Amino acid sequence: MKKNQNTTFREKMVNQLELPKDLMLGAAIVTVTGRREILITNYKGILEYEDSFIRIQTKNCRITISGAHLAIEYYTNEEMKIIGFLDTIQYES
Amino acid sequence: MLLSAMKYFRGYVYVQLNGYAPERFLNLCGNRDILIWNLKPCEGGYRFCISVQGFRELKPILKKTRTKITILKRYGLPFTAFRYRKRKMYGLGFLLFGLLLSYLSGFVWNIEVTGNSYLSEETVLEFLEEEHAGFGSAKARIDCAALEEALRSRYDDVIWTSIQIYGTKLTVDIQENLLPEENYIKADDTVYDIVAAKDGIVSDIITRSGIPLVAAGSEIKEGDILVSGRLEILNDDGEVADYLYQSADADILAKVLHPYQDVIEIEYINETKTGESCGNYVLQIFGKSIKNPFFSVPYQDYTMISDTAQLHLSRNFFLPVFLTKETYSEHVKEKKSRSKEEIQKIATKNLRNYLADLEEKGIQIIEKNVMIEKKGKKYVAEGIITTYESVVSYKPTEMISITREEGQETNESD
Repeated sequence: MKKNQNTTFREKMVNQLELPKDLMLGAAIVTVTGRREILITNYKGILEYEDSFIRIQTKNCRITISGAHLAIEYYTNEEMKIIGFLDTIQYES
Repeated sequence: MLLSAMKYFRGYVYVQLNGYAPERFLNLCGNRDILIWNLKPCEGGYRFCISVQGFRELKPILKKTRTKITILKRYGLPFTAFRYRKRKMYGLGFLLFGLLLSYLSGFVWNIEVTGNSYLSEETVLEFLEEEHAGFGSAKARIDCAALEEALRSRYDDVIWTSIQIYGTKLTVDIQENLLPEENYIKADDTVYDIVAAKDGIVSDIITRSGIPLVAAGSEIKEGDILVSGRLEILNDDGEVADYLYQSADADILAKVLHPYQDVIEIEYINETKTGESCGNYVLQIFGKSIKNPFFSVPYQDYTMISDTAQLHLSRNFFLPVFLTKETYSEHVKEKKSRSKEEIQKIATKNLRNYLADLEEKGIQIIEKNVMIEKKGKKYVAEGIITTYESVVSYKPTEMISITREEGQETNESD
């Protein structure tokens, strides 16, 4: 837990050198457009998927998106687009 | 748009996935770059769209995740083509459509003219029609370079032109000689006098070339020569030896009197609209008009406004089909008489409009003297408006020739 909350040496390096974080740290990029559209890049896989929530595994954490009428418009190896009515976006380690 | 068209041509299926580990199935698909879209959860599994190509690669994944897949619906061209494989005429129709399209695209269907200001679009279109390059002519027979040449030689004003064919559109780009027309008059050899355009009294004259025959204060009549283009050359005896010609050029301002009269009737017929109106459509094809046979105008007094539109394919490819909309609006006629104030108001307004018209022409108004008088059943506004305006107009100079021999004789006597 402690390792995750404080910035690590690796993160400091990436920050100093201004390298892209999504590539170097494997950070997921979540783009939310309004309340109906969400685009996730750099994810690892789908853990659970139901009408009211979607759990997604990324490199260092899990993202749970809950809402109503959630549907995956498309998904590829790199990115996934979810449409539906969003309630929460939750990060779990 | 392009993506969905591609999906359609490749074909895709809408399937239902059931079984032990459907999430794992989805992740595996992602890893193997099998595109899945419109994914939705349903009872005991998922429903999604997958391309035919992707569907064929699913077998090992299905085995690994112990899931079952059922096709709910098939979409796309491969399936449609398979369903209609026995309908030969259908395919033939498509083929014919393609052939017709490629045949018709060999003609000019649209003409665009840009850059013309003196030359009207109609003139250019007429020219193209004469050169067999109008609407509906075969593209292969049009020689753009020769057309450009012909257009330039036919119209002197055109100094540069470019004719090009893009698809089924012919574009004509024109550059015109935009020098003012005055230069054209000067360019030819005729010599001009300045003559009076109106009666009046000269108040100001500035001569740049030619011999002034009037001075400020002199009275002039319409047609009088004001500045002559003929220069007399006198010999030692004070006789005219020769004439030199040069176009006259001058600014001449004169005081001109304009009589003004305006008659206003006291009694007049007023037409008030009742607000009732009805419409009728008339179709005209090849000069024959087709009217609605059940239509008749239900009013006694009415005004009719007709709006005609011609059918055209592009902006200027007109077909001989017209649609006219006739709107009849009812009005009631009433006899009314005007009061003195009303008449005064109308007279003032008319006079003001008249003066505004004069001023728009660059005429300066110095004095106006207009009176309203009652004459029987009408009022007459009469008077004189004094203005200050240019009276220059041009007329070719009369050429007078002097015989050479006379000149020589005088020389000898010297």
